[in-house]
Amino acid sequence: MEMAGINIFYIVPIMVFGPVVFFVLFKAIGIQTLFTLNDEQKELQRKSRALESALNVETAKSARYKKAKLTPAKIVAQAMLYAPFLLFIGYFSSYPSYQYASENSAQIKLSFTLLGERKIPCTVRSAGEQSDLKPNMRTAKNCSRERNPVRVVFSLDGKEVFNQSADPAGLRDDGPSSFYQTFIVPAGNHELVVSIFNNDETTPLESFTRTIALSAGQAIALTHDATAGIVIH
Amino acid sequence: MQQPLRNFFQHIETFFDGPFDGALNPMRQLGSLAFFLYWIVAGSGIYIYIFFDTSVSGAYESVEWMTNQWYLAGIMRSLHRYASDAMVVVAMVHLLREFSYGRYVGARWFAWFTGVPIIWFLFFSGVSGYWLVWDMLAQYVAIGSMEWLDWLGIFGKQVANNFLSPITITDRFFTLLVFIHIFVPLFLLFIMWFHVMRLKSPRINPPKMLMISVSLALVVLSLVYPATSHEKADLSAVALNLDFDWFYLIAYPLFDAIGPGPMWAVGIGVTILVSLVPLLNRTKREPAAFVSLEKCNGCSRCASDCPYDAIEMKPRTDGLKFDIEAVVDANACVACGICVGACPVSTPFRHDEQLVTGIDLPEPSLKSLRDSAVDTMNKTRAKAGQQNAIMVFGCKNGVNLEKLNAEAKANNIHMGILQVPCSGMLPPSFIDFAISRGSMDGVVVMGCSENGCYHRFGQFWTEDRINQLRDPNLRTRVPRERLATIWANPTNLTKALNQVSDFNKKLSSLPAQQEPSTASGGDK
Repeated sequence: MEMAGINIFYIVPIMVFGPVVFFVLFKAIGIQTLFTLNDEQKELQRKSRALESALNVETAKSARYKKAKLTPAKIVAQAMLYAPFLLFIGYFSSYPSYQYASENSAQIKLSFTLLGERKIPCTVRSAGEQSDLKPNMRTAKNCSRERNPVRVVFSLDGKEVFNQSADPAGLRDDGPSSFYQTFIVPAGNHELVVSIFNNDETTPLESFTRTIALSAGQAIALTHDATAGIVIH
Repeated sequence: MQQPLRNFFQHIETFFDGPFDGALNPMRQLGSLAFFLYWIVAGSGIYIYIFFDTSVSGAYESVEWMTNQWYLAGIMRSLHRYASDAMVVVAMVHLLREFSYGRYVGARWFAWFTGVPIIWFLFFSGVSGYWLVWDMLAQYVAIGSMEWLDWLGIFGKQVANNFLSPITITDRFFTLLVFIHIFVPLFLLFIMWFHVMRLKSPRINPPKMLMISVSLALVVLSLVYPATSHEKADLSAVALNLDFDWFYLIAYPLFDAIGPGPMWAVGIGVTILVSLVPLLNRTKREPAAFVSLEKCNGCSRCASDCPYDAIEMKPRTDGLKFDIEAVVDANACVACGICVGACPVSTPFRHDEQLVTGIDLPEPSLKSLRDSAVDTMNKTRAKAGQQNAIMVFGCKNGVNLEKLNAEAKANNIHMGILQVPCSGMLPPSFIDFAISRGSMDGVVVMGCSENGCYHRFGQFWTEDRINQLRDPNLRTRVPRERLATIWANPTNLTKALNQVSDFNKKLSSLPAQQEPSTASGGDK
């Protein structure tokens, strides 16, 4: 049997036992104290209401300004004072112009996020070693989480302009090393050489050499892609 | 540095008092003006957000569309920018003015301290707004901001990498920028609320006429000089020359010059220095007001009048028949004495050896005020002879009373001077006392310039009490023609002297009072 789409057999017990349960909770356990105040609380409430009304009477007359007695001359004078203020706001909201770099400049950005070599190289686990491990830990290789710092050297037109080493990110030194630097260069042809080194090794892991023509106002970015290596955007 | 700055502000305020008639003087409305400008920025921001396209490809075009609709959306865009710029100016002048007046010491440290993050959030709100236009300026500001944040190394990958090339910036990231520009100003509002929460009845709305004139002025600026954009952002290009909003972007050229690390050092250093200003001030804190329960009937007038919410009414603790009693929060009290002036028991007529009142200051106490007043009035009466004797009750932040007295003497005006911390400390019964018992021909109550009360409400309460609008009232029997109020700051000495001189002449034209006698204590 259904009433408004709800089986009535679910409702009847609630209707019968609900009030009983509520009565027991209300009387026996003391829930009524949540809804009613004892004498002390009533007295406090009365005092606080009396205080509120006393304060409201006073704050109704709270601090106020006298009305200004404005005359046409004063309004004109006000307008004359607003004018320099508006001029000040209007002018400095756009001027003087800021020259970030000279007009014949271009920008080169280096932005690399590089995963360094593992501090301890991976070793291959034998079948016996794997079976000693718990099932979920049985991987073919044993690798350390920690990675080495990475060093990036950038030379522009034969001159080294960037040589920085970055530690791996993460509390366990297991994240990538990040590099970010911008260079303002004159427009024209430039030879770019980037070398990436593992830790303090002298042989680069990767090298990149390119000559590029930059026009005034052009911006390029050199980034690293795991598959494509160093690329220019 | 503080005093010259204070002199500067007082001169400016005096100058503005002319056209703005004191009541509308914007220099005394800087805090409430900042609030009002915030609402203009919020209102215009909501409007332009309706038409704003939150995608990378559509943002610039939508802003351009608004700019070209010069008669509505264009005005709203310009209002959004200029009200934001004006808010920076108003907030910075407000900071300097409060500093110059020393309104950051004692209980006022809280408002000062919470004002510091407001500066950060205000700049962050404005800067994040510049990102959204997505023009070359937006590109410059966004990249600079991210490079600055990246230096902290807390984001894992460099956030600035999102701006490497046209393909690296996504709609999703751009939506994040929009989100930032909505929520940072909301946080700003939250801190602004925090900033004023310890003040009683904080004034967050300037007078209506001032709101109208400021709005009109900004609309005029928006029409005459509408805000425009640069070329559309292009991540394969670098902006070499930018029309700069110096109000919000002033830190960026410095950032370009010194780099992110030193820039953080400058930002954090200045923040710490400004935050610690209250600690660097060595002004001795005045002892707080105290309650004498045997004289307190719990009328709550002191709590109602205290401008700093330093008095709370609590259930009675001494068994007297009254329900409540006043309790002073010493940390919030600045010892202005306004509560003393509000207490109906504070009357000099009572002949009580100790003259205990419901609430009093340790120094100057009500008794010391009465004793000094009696002494001053007797001397002034004696010196004046048959000429007018005027009793002046003046606050210590208004005109220099010693100088005024010297000038008055030179003009053959006989004045007795009594200084109080704030004009609001003076119970109105002192005026009655001076005329009826002190045989003064007239009384002058002086305080800070109109609407510029150092302790916020002292001037208002004084006038209301005199005009019988607020308890304790000045009794009807006191001849109002023998009373003058002069509101003037220290730069208004001449104006104050002229007003005293006019008052003296007016007194001379009045019929003579009863036979002068010598002031003594109060009633037996």
